[in-house]
Amino acid sequence: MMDESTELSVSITQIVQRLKGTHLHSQLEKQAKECMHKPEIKLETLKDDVRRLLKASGWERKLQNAVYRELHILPPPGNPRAPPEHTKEPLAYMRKAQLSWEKRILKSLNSMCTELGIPLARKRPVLEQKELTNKWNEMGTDEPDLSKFRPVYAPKDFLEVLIGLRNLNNNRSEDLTVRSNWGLIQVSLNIRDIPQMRETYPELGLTYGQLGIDDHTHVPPDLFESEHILIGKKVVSEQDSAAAQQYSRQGCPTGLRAQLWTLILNTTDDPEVITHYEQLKARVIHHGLLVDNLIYKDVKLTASNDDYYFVFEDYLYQVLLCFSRDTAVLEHFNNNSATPPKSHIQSKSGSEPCAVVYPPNGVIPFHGFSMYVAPLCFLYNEPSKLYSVFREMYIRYFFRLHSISSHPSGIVSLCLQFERLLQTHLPQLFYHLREIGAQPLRIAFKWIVRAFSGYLSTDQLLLLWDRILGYGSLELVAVLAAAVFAFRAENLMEVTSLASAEAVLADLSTLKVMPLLQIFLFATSV
Amino acid sequence: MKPVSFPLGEPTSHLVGVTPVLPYVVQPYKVSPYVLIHITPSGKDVASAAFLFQRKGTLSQCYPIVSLNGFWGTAVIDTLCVSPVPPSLGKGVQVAYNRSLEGGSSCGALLLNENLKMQRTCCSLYTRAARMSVQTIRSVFSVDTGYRLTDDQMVNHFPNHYELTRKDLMIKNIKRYRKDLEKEASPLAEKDESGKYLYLDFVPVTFMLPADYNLFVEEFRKSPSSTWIMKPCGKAQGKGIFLINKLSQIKKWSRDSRTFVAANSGKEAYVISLYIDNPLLIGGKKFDLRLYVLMTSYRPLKCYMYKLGFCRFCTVKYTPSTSELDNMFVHLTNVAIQKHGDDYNHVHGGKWTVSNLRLYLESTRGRDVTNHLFDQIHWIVVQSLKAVAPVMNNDKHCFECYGYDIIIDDRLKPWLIEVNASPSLTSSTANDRILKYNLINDTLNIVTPNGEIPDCRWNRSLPKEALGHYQVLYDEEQALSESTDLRSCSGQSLGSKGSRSGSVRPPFPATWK
Repeated sequence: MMDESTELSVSITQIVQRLKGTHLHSQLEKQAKECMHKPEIKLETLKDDVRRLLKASGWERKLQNAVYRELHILPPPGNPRAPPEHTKEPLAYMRKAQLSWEKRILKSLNSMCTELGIPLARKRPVLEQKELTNKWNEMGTDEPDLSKFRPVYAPKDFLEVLIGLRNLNNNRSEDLTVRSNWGLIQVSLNIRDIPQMRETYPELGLTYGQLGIDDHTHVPPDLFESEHILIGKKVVSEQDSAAAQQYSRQGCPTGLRAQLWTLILNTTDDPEVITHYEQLKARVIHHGLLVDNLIYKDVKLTASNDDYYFVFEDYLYQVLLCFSRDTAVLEHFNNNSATPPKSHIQSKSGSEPCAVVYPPNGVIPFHGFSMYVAPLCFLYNEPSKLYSVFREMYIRYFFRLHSISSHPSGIVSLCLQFERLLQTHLPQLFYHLREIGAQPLRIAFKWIVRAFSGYLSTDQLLLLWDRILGYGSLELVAVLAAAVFAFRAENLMEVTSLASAEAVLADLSTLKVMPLLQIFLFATSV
Repeated sequence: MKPVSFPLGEPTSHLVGVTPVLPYVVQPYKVSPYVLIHITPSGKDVASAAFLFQRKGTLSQCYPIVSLNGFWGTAVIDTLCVSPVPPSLGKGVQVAYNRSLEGGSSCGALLLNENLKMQRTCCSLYTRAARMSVQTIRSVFSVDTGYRLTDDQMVNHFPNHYELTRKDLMIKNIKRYRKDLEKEASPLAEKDESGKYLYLDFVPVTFMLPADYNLFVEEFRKSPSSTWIMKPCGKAQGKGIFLINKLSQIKKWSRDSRTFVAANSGKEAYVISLYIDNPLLIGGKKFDLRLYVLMTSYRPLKCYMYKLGFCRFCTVKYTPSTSELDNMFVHLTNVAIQKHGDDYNHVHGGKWTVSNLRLYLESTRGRDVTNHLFDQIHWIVVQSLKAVAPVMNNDKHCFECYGYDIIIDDRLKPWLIEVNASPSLTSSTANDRILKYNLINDTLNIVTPNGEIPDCRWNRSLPKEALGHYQVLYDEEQALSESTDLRSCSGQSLGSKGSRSGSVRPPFPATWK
């Protein structure tokens, strides 16, 4: 076991390592050098003076924000001697399950490739490149024949894999309690109960003001809201990531949300961000990938038919196509239980086939993937900005929703959390639904996988995502799923089939997220 | 009868697909899109039964719900007049209707019994019904007919609504309104250095053709690169509209087109308006706004704004280039036109709610600009109504639900394009159906409150809760009494409100908020 101070110093070394050679690093150096020429710098107090100047010019804040971002994506400290995959996912059976799931997806992708006779990647002829450049902003008007393509997998398929998860170390007959047999998830993980969550989410408590609740009450009118907006403006002007994150726990005002989220995610609008996006765009134009068709198909099947998001169809193509080419996304596999899929290509020089990551970002889209981007289109109307916010959201949070791991924000934990909450607080409802063959998770899984995108109305969804960013955790997604069941419990008790239970829960677009969460967490008797 | 209410946060849409128990046969979705209106019809006496029917059908173009076993077919009901049956005829309700079909219209009258089943057609009412259509509504009020509407009869059009809803007349009235205000030296008529009205410049520059041809040519020569849009005055749904950007085109049109000759005799006139070539684009697409405004009285002015309007998106990418001038899908957002485009999506129908628009604008541009835009939209609606108020025949039996078409340009300035007297109440998608259902329901709740027999003498001032999704946009009576209060306590004159120099926001009474 490492003690706290060694753990800290390991983290510090890691962060310093990662920040070295970044754009920020060279900018800081440049700034420091420029300081030298200033008259107020004295040789005897050189270090302090430079520091003071960097602080005054806002560069210290930028460094703080960068460190804060690294802390978010830093893999959990492990024993330095443990192999890296153990740090990514400590439980062997999870690793194994993830590995075989990856094999399945890749096999399915490869067989689609062979079946249709379409190469995984190809250079576009010059004429096609020109055409694509011209219609870059209106790819939605294109109607390619996509009937042959099918999504590599849908959330349903993934749920079956999670249901099949078993910990072979557990002797089932004696170890599993009656309770755990109720649900679909058959592994045990450390899940927080309501009293623990009340400690984790104190700002959601009844005594705190909440955007999404207190902006709608009429007495006293707007009191909390206007105060909250004032503080929000201050947070934005201070450019402080940590403060923005704390602030977001009570909700971001609509007019400030875009700025606050970029601050929390530390996605700067440096020119290099735009250059990077333009490079990705060039890659899309030069080479066509098989996954492009999957992206097209997914957008057509989901966002293009959505009342809220259809207007952003073209932005979704742009962002998702660029995303698939972005090798910087690979970085997130350092703390993802998954490994990027590999494909073999014939190298130019020799006949020896070599393995490359495919698609280049290592992420194979599934049915509904574009809904991770869609809500963000309400906040950012510049594609490069939209892109960088989405990418950061993905490598911090969304990847956990479709890889098998024991992480508390991972999909397995969320499913288990959801089932446990219902079993503990609405046992009769759980029992009833189970009896009629409508396991709650079968209905709620699609919500959880998409973090509710496409199910809630956009304003409500953004209020939920405020809290995801604010607490740096997806746990509230599971809580909300349970709260929705609790809210419609009366109707659900009346139904007698899976279909009618699904009908009762088919339309979530009128739900108010924050009252549901607050009541479920703080007004449920425990 | 109270408006149907649902528990906190629970949707009406949640009930779609759940068939309520009804005392009559519920027709399938397409024929009767407003089934949800009749959730609580049990135990009603004749009067409220009549009312129930009225809620289903008084507005133009709505399909009545009552099962008449396909009698109504898919005809569009233009006008419907409902009144209780004279006691001598027994219990029931008589209905006079006028419907337009593809290529013609018909009218008639029916007698329904208390279960709202059709009893018989009623010839004695026929002549009255024949007069009731959106085109001929005026004759209903004519003295020559020898017929007078009784106090319990309400009609969903004003006799001369065309003063507002015909493109040429609306322009004429607005131009006159501006001149009148100028003469009064009203602060509202203030102009900037370039001679443009600060607060009244809300319709694109427009001329009547052929009457104003010379004026148009003069204006065209000032900015020869501009694009203009030609619209026939009396047609709707995007019919007969085309774009021009060269004078030669309009000359050619006048040579080729017989209508131009006919127009000289006053039969078919056109308006030509400066085309808004810098529309606000969202997701790269052009759109316009359809807002619903309920008018219950012109003098004093009393109108309501419906909160559930929507944006109509073009399915084809917008390019301002002139090569696309012939592709109407790029320029016109009318659903009737867009429906024929290949890309028309039947799930959302290219419709985006105003609340989506607000969320998007507030998120990307900030709260203050967004509020300012919506204030301006409300402002131009009120001004357009004020412009026609003096000429409108303010009959106490009348109310009207207008469809306002507004385009927002890329500087977030709204432009009034036109006003429709019979906005489409049919639904193209599931959400649309819910919207139209709510619209009809809320409209009738204001016009005939409390589910009672309509009474045109009733002075309509309702508590907020009774307005449904409507909000009071302008209430002249209330505004006057407020400003008198204001004057008496602060000694301010009414006009000073508008003359605040440097204030971007147009002067506006606080009543609509």
